[in-house]
Amino acid sequence: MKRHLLVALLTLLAAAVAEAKTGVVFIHGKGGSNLAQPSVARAYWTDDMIRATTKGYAIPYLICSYDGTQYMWIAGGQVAGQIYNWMTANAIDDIVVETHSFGGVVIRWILSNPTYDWRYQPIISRIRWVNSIAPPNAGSEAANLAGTLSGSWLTGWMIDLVGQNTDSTKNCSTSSMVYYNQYYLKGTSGRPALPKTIYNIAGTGLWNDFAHSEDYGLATLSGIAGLPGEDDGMVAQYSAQSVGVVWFLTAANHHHNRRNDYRKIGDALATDF
Amino acid sequence: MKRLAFLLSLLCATTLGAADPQPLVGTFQPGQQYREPDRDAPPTVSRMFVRAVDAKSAKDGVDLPATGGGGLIILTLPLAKGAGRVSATLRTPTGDVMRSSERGSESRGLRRYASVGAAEGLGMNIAAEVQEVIHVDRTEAARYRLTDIALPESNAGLLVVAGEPDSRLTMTTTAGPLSRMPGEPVTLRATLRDGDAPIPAAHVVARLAAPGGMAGGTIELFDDGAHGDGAKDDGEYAAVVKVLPSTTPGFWSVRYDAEGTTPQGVEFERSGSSDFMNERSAARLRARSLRTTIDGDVLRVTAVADVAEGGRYRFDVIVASARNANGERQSIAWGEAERTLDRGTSQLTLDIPLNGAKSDGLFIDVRLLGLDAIGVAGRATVDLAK
Repeated sequence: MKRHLLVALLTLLAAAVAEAKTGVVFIHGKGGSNLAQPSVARAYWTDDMIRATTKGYAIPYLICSYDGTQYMWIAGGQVAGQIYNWMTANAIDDIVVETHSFGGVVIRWILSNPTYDWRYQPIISRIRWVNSIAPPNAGSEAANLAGTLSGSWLTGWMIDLVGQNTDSTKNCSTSSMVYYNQYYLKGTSGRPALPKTIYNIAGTGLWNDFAHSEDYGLATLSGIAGLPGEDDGMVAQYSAQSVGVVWFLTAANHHHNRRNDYRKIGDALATDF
Repeated sequence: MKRLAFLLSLLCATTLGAADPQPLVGTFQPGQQYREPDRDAPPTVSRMFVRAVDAKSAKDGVDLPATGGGGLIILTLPLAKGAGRVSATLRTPTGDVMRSSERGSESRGLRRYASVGAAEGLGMNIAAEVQEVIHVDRTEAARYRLTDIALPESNAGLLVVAGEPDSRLTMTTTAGPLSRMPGEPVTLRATLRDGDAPIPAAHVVARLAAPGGMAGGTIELFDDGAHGDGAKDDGEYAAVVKVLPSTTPGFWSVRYDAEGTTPQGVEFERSGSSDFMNERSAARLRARSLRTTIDGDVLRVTAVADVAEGGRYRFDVIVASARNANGERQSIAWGEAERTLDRGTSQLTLDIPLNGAKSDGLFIDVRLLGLDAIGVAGRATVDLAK
């Protein structure tokens, strides 16, 4: 309710400041290095999510595309470069940021460290707020499992197998996130507040599509990784909600909550405009 | 004249470009509790275990002890890039046999799911088509067995992950300190519990892996009351590593594996992991150099840093209140100043407005953080009530 009032107030303010130009930025989660390709990043979100969020592409938008294997400070630099160029070229001065999964940690790195990169502060100044879908703010037990299964432990095998425990996955372990939260990131309990509000959307569903291997995979991870409480197969509710203001919960699992299919999350995001 | 003005403007621009950013300061919301950084890595709870099986050993089958009374999820992953699917027969302790061609059923309490996209979520580059899950609805406290394991020739072996999400039998692991300064020992801990009951006499080992490196040898954890593990036979296992195998900075991984039998005679295995940050010795904050002065409503904090590797650092300060009747401190204000430090000794200073907060008995938490290479260079605190 407070959020709706704020939207109404900001709409009035926007009307008063006739020159304000609003845009949407999408920041994806971790994955492969090919997420640095714009087409792969777009496919990550799906066209329907982008269409719904931007009200049929009426709102100017940017889909950030960064190497999904990197630490948050590397990803942050790639994302900041794209946002800075886009907002400058298009005179966007009111930005709503939509993030999924690790993308929520990347934007929190930018918000928490405004002097780390000269582009961060101009970007922060133009951000209205951030909507963060299933962010592993306190880490992910699935990332811990990735560490347990890492190829590092298979000494003597002489194979490069599953050793895909990437820097972004390591960034998301619960140990790493506790460390970063207490020294480098803001917004968790006991730390300075973030300069802009983050609204979080936690996923609490697993079985969205019984015929899909992704859902079997997430249900398996939820079962063996030891995600406490409710979770979406990758990120537990407690972790997603450890930073910011709870906007709503979704029954969409970690794959579906970046799309606009099982639950119409894109439609909800569009209510900001 | 024009030339002089141009040169001056260039000099100005250069100076400005090289200047450190303006310090940032802020206040906390009233009532926000101050929190010390956690000393150790957060505890992680495991109800699963992992087996890596090479192609030769796979012919002998894989035993999977279950603790009984709940579900069992068996995930098999091929150990090779571009590998084919691994298929296996599951034999239960009650005599049921689910062959690799069978899907199972709900009424049978055994189901097989082929093509499971679990590895993507773990950052592994393994196709969903070659991942398989067997689900046992309710286990007996006994050994299950994978046999007749068919491995495509390209596979070096398989990973078997067996999870019992409902099990009372847990292994909780941690490592500390989470932020390990050069020269500090590292304590590895594992706690085995069956519900609330401790599990003594288990065999618990750990291995360390430096960032980007392979694992070292096994380190045995003890529950003998002599290895920083609390009382003897209390289910708390520990080992103290006084010297790390290398000085490689970054997050080190710890893998824990436990096996044993509960006092009730139930056989079990558990695997888990933890991480800790091995800090660089790039700079050191001299704790005894920390000084504070209050001028009006402004707190000035100064400290000295010894810098071994020049570069960008951040001087962070959190100001908290004296302890209240409950022993808690309230966070008051914070400040951070990015500084480019040369090799050698540097004086650090930060002014933080207190915005009318009481200045009696303040607690000051100071950190020096690396920015070129992420990591804590030093932390010191001063309690002005003392």
